[in-house]
This record gives sequence, C-alpha cells and structure tokens, in this order.
Amino acid sequence: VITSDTDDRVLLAQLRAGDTQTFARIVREWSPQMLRFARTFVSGEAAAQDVVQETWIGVITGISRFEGRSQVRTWVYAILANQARRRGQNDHRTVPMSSVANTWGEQSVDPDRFLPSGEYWAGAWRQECAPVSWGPEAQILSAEVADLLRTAIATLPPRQREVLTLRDVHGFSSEEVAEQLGLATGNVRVLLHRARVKVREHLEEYYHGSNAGDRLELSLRESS
Amino acid sequence: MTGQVPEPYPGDSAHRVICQQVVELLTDYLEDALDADLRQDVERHLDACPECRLFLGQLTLSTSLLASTDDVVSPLGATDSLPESTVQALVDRFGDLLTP
Repeated sequence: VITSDTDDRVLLAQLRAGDTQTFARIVREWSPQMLRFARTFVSGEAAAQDVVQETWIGVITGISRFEGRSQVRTWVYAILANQARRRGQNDHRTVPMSSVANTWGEQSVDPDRFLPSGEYWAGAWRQECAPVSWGPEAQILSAEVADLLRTAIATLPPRQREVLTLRDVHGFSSEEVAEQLGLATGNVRVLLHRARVKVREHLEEYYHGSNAGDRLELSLRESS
Repeated sequence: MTGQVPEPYPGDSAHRVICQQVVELLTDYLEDALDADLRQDVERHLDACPECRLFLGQLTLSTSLLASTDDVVSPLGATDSLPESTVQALVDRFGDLLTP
C-alpha cells in the first residue's frame, strides 16, 4: 500500500479525529501483510495474531502522541517490529547469534571463495568457486522456492531478519527501516547486505545441487 | 571490511577494486549509497568481470523473489487476516478511546 504524502496527512487527520471507518479500513487492509511479517518472528498462528492485535492497540493508544514525521504505515510497522521482537524473545524462537553468525568476521561472502593474498590475483574469484548462472527457471518463484526463502529468512540472525523483511519483502526504504528499528542507515545497509548474501547462498545451493563450499573442499583436496 | 581484503591494483582501472571488495559493496551500490568515485570503480569492475556481474544479477534476483514471496501460498495453517471478531473489538476500542 503506497500512499502519497497528501493521502497520508488525510489518513492521519482522520485517525486523530476518531474516524472509526478509516481505522477499520486500515486494520482490514494492512493486517494480512502484518501477519506475514509477524510469522517470521513468532511460532504459531495465534502468536502472530496476538502480535498484530497488540500492534493495533499500540496504534490506538499512541496515535495522539504520533507527530506525523514519518508515514503512518512506517510508524505502524515500527510498533509491529517492536511487538514481534518482544514476543519472539518470550517464545525463545530467536535463533542464537552464535549458531548463525558469520565464521569469517566482517566479510559476508566466504573469503575462501577468493584467491588468497600473495597470489597475483589475490581477492579475485577462485575459478571453481565463482558464481555460476542459475538458468532461466530461477526467474520464476515456485511454491518450493518461496518455502526455501522463508526458511532462509527464518535462519537469519534477528536484526538481519528484521531489516531484510522490512526492506525486501515489505518494500520500505532503507531510511524508513532505519527509523523503524532505531538504527543508522549505514548499519541498516550492512545488515541488509549480509542478509541478502545469505539468501542468495540458499538459492545458489538450491539451483546448483552441489554448493560452492563442496566444490571448494573438493578442489582443495585435489590440489593437496 | 577487514584487513584480509587485498589492496587494489594501482594503475589498472578495471581492477581498482577487486572481486572480494566489490561483492561487499553491492548493496550500497544498489541503494545508491556509494560516493561517485567508488561507484565508478565498482561499475568499471562490473563491466570487466562477468563473475561479479553474475553475482550482482543473482543478488537482485534474490531480492525481487523476496518481494513476491508474499503473493505465494501462505504457510500451512496461516490465515489471511485477523478474525472479524478481533477486528471489531479493535474498532470498538478505537471508538471508545478516540471518538469525541
């Protein structure tokens, strides 16, 4: 749902004036997408519905204090992200950072896929680990790939999951996501990049059959 | 960026930045957050490097697939919206609190 600035000002004025029809309309229109967001953070449909319901209660109690410096929908999602995080922590659904953190420090892409320092082309792709075309079938989103993407999202560290879901699934700008999560825009882009690289790796594994890690291991074994 | 990332090659315009650096810059590139010089370096590299071009294409494809995951069948047991009774309860609460 993309609203122009004028529409948004009208919407806010209607909500502040206590227009129940407008409130009912946005609850009906926005809740399906908000439920999909909540499902990535909590387990069970009832918990996801609770998160969305609590978000709307937050909107009702907070609307008089909302200054309208961001779009109404951006603000609603900031409340939603907060509720989902709180509930997700209570549910112990949050995957521990250590189990999914990069093993190679700050780099998003495994450094073993590049030629090591000392080589003339240090930092260039190793031939056997370079990206390979996924073929035309990768252009179409099948139900199977949608499931794969959901799994990929679910295994991201929480902050990366929030950023990727808000930016790439729900289409907020990096600036809006920064505002929603209380982060610097630069940090949002760092988290977004790591998350996108991991999602790409899930797809790479799916479309290749054998993933780049296996190919690397094979080539290292052959060369030793 | 860590110290592991190699230094760029001086005097080689296509390789002022190298693959391992380029892949770390692609989200900033796509979000238009690179300064003009670095953006140009990345673009020159992409022109010369089919592997990094492929990586970029796959990264953008991943994000466009993510944008459509919402339209594909919801997970088992998921409902499309809040139950109507919940919507009604919220609207009543809104009315009680905000209607003058």
